[in-house]
Order: sequence, then C-alpha cells, then structure tokens
Amino acid sequence: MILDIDTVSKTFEMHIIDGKTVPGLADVSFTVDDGEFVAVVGESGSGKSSLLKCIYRTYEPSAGAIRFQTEGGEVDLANCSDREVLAVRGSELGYASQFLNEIPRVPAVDVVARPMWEQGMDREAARERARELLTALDLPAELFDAYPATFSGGERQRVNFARAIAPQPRLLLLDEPTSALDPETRASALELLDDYLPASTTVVGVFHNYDVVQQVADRVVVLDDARLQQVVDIADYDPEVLA
Amino acid sequence: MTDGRSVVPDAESVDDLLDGVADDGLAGYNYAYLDEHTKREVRRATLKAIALPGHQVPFASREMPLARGWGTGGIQTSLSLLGPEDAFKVIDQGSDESVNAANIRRLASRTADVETTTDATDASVIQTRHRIPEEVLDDDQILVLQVPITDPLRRVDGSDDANRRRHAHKNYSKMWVALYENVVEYGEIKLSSRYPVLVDDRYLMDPSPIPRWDVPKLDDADNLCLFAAGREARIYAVPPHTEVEPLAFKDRQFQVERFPDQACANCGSEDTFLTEVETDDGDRRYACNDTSFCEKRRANPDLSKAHHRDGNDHAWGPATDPSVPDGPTENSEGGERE
Amino acid sequence: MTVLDVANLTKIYGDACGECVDNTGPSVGDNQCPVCGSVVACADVDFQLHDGEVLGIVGESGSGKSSLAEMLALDLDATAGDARYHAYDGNMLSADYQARHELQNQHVGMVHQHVQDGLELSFSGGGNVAEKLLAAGWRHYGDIRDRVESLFRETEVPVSRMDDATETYSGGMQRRIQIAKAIANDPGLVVLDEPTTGLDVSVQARVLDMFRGLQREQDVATIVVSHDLDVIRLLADRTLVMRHGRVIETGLTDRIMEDPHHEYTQTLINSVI
Repeated sequence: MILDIDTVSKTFEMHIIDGKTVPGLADVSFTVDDGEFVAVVGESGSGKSSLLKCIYRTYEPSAGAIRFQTEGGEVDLANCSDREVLAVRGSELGYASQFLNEIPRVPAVDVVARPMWEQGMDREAARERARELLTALDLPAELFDAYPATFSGGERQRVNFARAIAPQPRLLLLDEPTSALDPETRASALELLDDYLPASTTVVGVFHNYDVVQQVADRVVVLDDARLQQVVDIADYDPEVLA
Repeated sequence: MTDGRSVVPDAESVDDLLDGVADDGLAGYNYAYLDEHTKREVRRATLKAIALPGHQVPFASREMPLARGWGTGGIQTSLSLLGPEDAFKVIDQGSDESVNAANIRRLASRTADVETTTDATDASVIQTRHRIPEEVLDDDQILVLQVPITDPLRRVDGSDDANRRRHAHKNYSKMWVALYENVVEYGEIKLSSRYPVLVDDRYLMDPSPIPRWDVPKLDDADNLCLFAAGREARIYAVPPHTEVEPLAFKDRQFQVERFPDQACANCGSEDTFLTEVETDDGDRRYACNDTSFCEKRRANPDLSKAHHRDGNDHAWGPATDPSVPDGPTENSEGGERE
Repeated sequence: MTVLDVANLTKIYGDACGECVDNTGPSVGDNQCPVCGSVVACADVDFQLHDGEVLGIVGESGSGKSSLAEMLALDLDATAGDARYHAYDGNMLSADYQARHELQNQHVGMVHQHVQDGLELSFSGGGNVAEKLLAAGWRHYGDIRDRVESLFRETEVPVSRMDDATETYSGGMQRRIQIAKAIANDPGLVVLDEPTTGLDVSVQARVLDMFRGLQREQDVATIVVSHDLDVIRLLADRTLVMRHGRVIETGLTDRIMEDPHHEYTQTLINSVI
C-alpha cells in the first residue's frame, strides 16, 4: 500500500458569502496499492478534483489523514508541515491539473523541461526529453519553442500532461488530463503513460470518459456528492448502474 | 562712522591716508600674523591629524588677508608652525617665483621673522601648491600642502554627509567603481592628479593636486606631510613612515607620468617631472617643473636627489624607486586650479 | 537547513506608546495606533526560511510588506524582533554598521522596487554590478570583468551594453542589473521587493522566468514581496499573507491561492481581475 486515505473531509468556509460552509469531501476512505492505477469517477461537483487537491495539499483537508509511503518513510499529507509537502512534491508526488498554469512567454519545451532540471537534470538533456515527450503526444514540432498561451486547449493539455509525467513521480495525480484531446491523441497519451512511466508508478486519475477508465484503471473510486460511494475492481465496474 | 570720528580727520587724499599709517608697519599684529589662540587651535587640529593619518580634521579656518582658495589653509598651518629659527620655502607648482609664493614668503618673513629660502634642503618648513620637491625631504622637515578639495570621495558623490559615513566605515567601493569605469574607458587608470591614496590601510585621502609623479613620495617618507584647506577648514596629515598606497587593480597598476625621450631643456635632467612650455617663438620644449632643483642641476648635472643625505637609497618618487613600475606611455598635466 | 529564522519582527513608525501593537491589526482594522498615532508597519512577524526556498509575502499597499522586506535586507532598522541568519552569529537586526555592510555585501542581496534605491544610474551597468565585487574585496580588473560579464549572461542582459550608463537601460534591464548585483557574491538570501512593478507585462514575465531559473539553479533562499498574486504564484513555494501589519495566513502558495482560509485572503484572491 502506497497511499492510505483515512476519513478525509474537506469543507470550505466562504467568508465572502457570510461564512457559508460548502462541503468538498466527507469522510472519504480508501487505499491505493503500489503500482496501481486508480480511476476516480463521479458526477461534476462530486468531489473528484477536491480529492486530488487534498492529496497534493493544494487543499488543506479539514479532517482525516492521507498517509503516503515515500521512499523516505510515511508522510501524512493532510497534517504534515508545508515544507514536508514541498519535499515530497516533484520526484515522489506529481500532479497534472486540468489547466496549464505557467509563466507566460516560456516556450513549451521549457515548460516541460523545467520540473526535470529543477530536480538537477542537465538543461539540454531535460529539453531533449521534453521534445521526446511532446513528440510522443503528437504536438507539432514547430510549437515546441512557441508559448503555450497561444495554443489551443488540446495543445495546452498535451504540454501540461507532458510536464506532469516528465519527472516520473512515484505517485502521479491526473485531473482529467485528456479531456480536451481528440481520440487519436488521447490514445497516444495513454500509451505514453504505459511506455514512459516505470511499471511501479502509482496513478490516481480523474476521468470522465468510460473508455479511458476501462483501458487504464485497475480499480475505480466512485464519488457522489462529496462522499465515497464505492471502490470496485474494474471488472466489476458498471457505469450505467452507478450513474 | 556715524559718530563723526575718522581715522585721519585731516586727510585730503588716499596718499595722505597712506602717509598717515606709513610708520605703523606691523605694529599691533601678533607674531606670525595669527593670534595665539588661533595658532593653538591650528596646532591642535594638526596634532589630531597626525594621530589619525589621512583623516580630515576640521579647524576654525580664519579670514586671511587674501581670498580663500589662494592657500589660506596652508598659510595658517605654516604660520602656526613657524618660529624665528625656521627657514621657510614656498613653491607654487614647483616654482619659488610665482606671485603667490613670493607673497606668502614675504608675509611669513615680515610677521614671523623667519629666514626664507628657495633651497628645499635648507628649509625646515616648505609650503607648496601642487608639487613635492624633487630633492628628498628629511625627518626634520615639514611639507605643508595647499589643498583645494579635501575629500577624494567627492569625485564620486557630492554628499559630504554620505562621504563622511563612508570614511567612518572604510567603505570605498564607490571610489573603486570610479576606477573600474576609468579602466573601462581608457584601458588603464587615467587620473591626472588628485590620485586617491589609502593611508595606513585606513583612510582614503586626496593627496591634493600633485602629479602622480609625486604620489609615491608620500609613502614611507622621512618627513611629515600636512595638508591644509582654508576654504574647507580641514587639516589632514601623513606622518613620517606611514604607508600610502595609491588605489589600483592588481592587473592595472598605478603609473606615474612618463616623458619618453625628453630631457629638461635647461638642465638636461631625465629623472625629474617635466612641464611642457611654449617659448616666445612658438617652440615647445620640456623643462623641470621644480625650478630650484633645476638651478642646482644646471650647475651640477650629476647632482643626486639625495645629495644632501647619507646614502642614496631612499625611495623618493619614480626615478629613485625601482619598485614603482614603468608605465607604457602618455603624460598629462596636473590639472585643476584651486 | 534553516537560512533565516525570524521571530517577533516589528516596525513602528513614530513614538510608540507601548499599546500600539495591541491597538492595531486586522481585528481593529487599522495599523495606526489610536492612542499615540504611531503607525505599526508590521508586528510580531515570525517565519523560517530554508535553503533553496522561495517565500512569498503578499498584501495590499500599506500592509507592511515593504517595511518587512527592507528590514530583512538590513536597509531599515527594526523596532523589535530577532532575525538569525545562518552565517551570522547573533541577531542580524542589531548588527552594527560594519557587520551590516558585510552582510549586505556578501550574504543578503536586495532587489529594490525603486531602481534609484538599488542602482547608481550614472554608473555603467557593469560598474553597478562590479561595485558589489569591489566591496567584497575583488581587486583584479580582469577577474571583475569576467565575473560581471558572466552575471550579465546569467541575467540575460546584452553584454554589449555592459559599459553603457545605467540610465540608458530599459526598466527591464535595470531590474536584471539589480538581480545581477544581488546575486554577484553568491548570497545565501535574496530579497525581491515588487520585482515586476513598473515593467511591461511581457518584460515582467521574462524577468520572473529568468529569476526563477537562476534561483533554482543556485538554490538561493529568496523572499519575494509583492502585491501581485501572479508574481507570488509563479515564484513562491510558500506564502505569507499580510494585512494591517500582521501575518494573517501562511501556507503553500497553491493552497493559499486555491483554498484561502482567512476572510481577507479570500477577498484578495477573488479580487483578481
């Protein structure tokens, strides 16, 4: 087991709307094994993104524990210090958000290369690997040195996806990484997950598309209205029934 | 004269007035012109300056019978030092004969009853503007340099307040940047005069507008050097045997002026600071700037700069000190007037 | 390793009456003491900075963040507080002038919001950078030139402009020169005060990107003060949110941006247009 999510809750207190409390997650518990691919599914607003953000600590859980077995030992991502989170992010914990959030006017290849050189890889080697990843994702080569701000949604998503997987984190969190991709490119992306990431990589990913879930997931976590509805093996997963 | 009194009531002309005081002479003036309190004040400042080599010490600069900027600081310092036993020499850019030098000498001779001389080796006190004599000074001699601008940092910052703080903390990086930029511009440090020097590894000092030629003479000299500025009311000093180091880079060294293939047109010297002079018929030639030494060399061309001392080994400027590196080229005249 | 450990850092402008800190702050909604009229620029600020870490300090003008930056860069005297820098023995806020200068020259690089505070505009750009080296005792002209040139390359300023007067540089170049100067002696700490203010948007991005690259490469601990959330988002690992001279919220920068807890932080995040 690499990840133990133990009765995690997250509520948002919205001071600007008179202190209204909005539930994000309520008592969610499940575990993830080493090397497993877990798909998180559910209706829009059911708490899928919140769950990933809690694991990455972009959201600070209101209650519960998120025990992550890092190479250096167990870290409770819900309760450890900010600095411990920072230490884990990168080589241990990676996250691809839905939207690309980068410094404007940085060429696509550098956006992808940066996480690698920040981990000490030589700049040119990192750029070379970034080009390989972007090529595998069918991004036209003439865009490599262009600024992603000028890209289409699908192109930007490819850059974002490449950036997230580039440093090969042990635990990778993917938030709808292929939503804006056409089927062909999506297939390339999923293929890249298999080819590029070591088999030991653990992935927790939010997906809308049933075919994708079917293709990549070992197990499925189903959320509904901020609560965990069920965790099932892919073989037993029937989206029609659940929806 | 509101009460109607007048000095010479029956005077009818200026000549009458002058006749009326013709016999007064120096009656009523104190010995050495300045009153004793003033002299004491100047001496105190002088002693403090000697105790803090290179540090600018304020003093109560008095009105003198000539305009500030014409050597009033030097005159006050000299007059506070002189006694009847002294021999006084005054030079202005190497010359004993300039009007100002002659007048200062006359003032001292009349009011302080001192001998005056043009021979640098005979003088006990030498007041100078912008030169240090070519002949090596001894430990019983005092050199008083007239100073127009006391603070070397004023080149880089007009704020005396900020500069005093820099001196207090030996923060001279701004001056170093000025030297850096000088090298950027010219390939070497090109400051014609007022070359900044570090005294005793502590205070940055303006050596007054002496040519670079004279700067090495300040280092480890046998004599005391006093620097006085009447307008700015500051006195500073380099005591005997004090280290005086011109600022320079390891790979861009301090250089003195060079006069390649030139000798003094009057005495033939090749080891003295030369100035270019234009003759009446438009010719240009070089001549010794130190006129009294030039006279001696004319009589005796082989006369050493240390002829009056035992041994000939004292470092005294470029030609007598092998440790001062030879510069490649160029000569430029000591510039700013007071 | 902890590079900087700050405790109880306080700056009060005016003759403090002793009650100023209690009488001001977010709970009161003001930073001016109603008793004596003193202004509490910041009070009781605590944080630690580790090597390689970038700490953001965000707040609107008047929140006290610039006073904080200036105190940490030793340009402004603190009223109270303790700041331990790893290479200095004791509280660096009470260092005497000499020690302070040494710290500023060798250990703490500052990039000022106003260029005239950080650069001598009549000097050349190269001269401004060289000043740091000269202050640290460099005396070999050739070595200084080489170092200045490589700093120009690192901060992406054309080397061909090295000997031009700094006043002829564009705003973006002047900011880069300040950064080159700040990192010239490989400091352990760099303080950036509003690093993009006054720059064109396109230039802002390039300066930030250049600095981030340098910062990561050299692993230098950095404090970046800005009212601009984008600057904080792009540079800072962790962020302090200040208001009325107090730190009201601390956290991972992405957490502050996406899950702000304090009422004021929520307003701040939601005011971005």
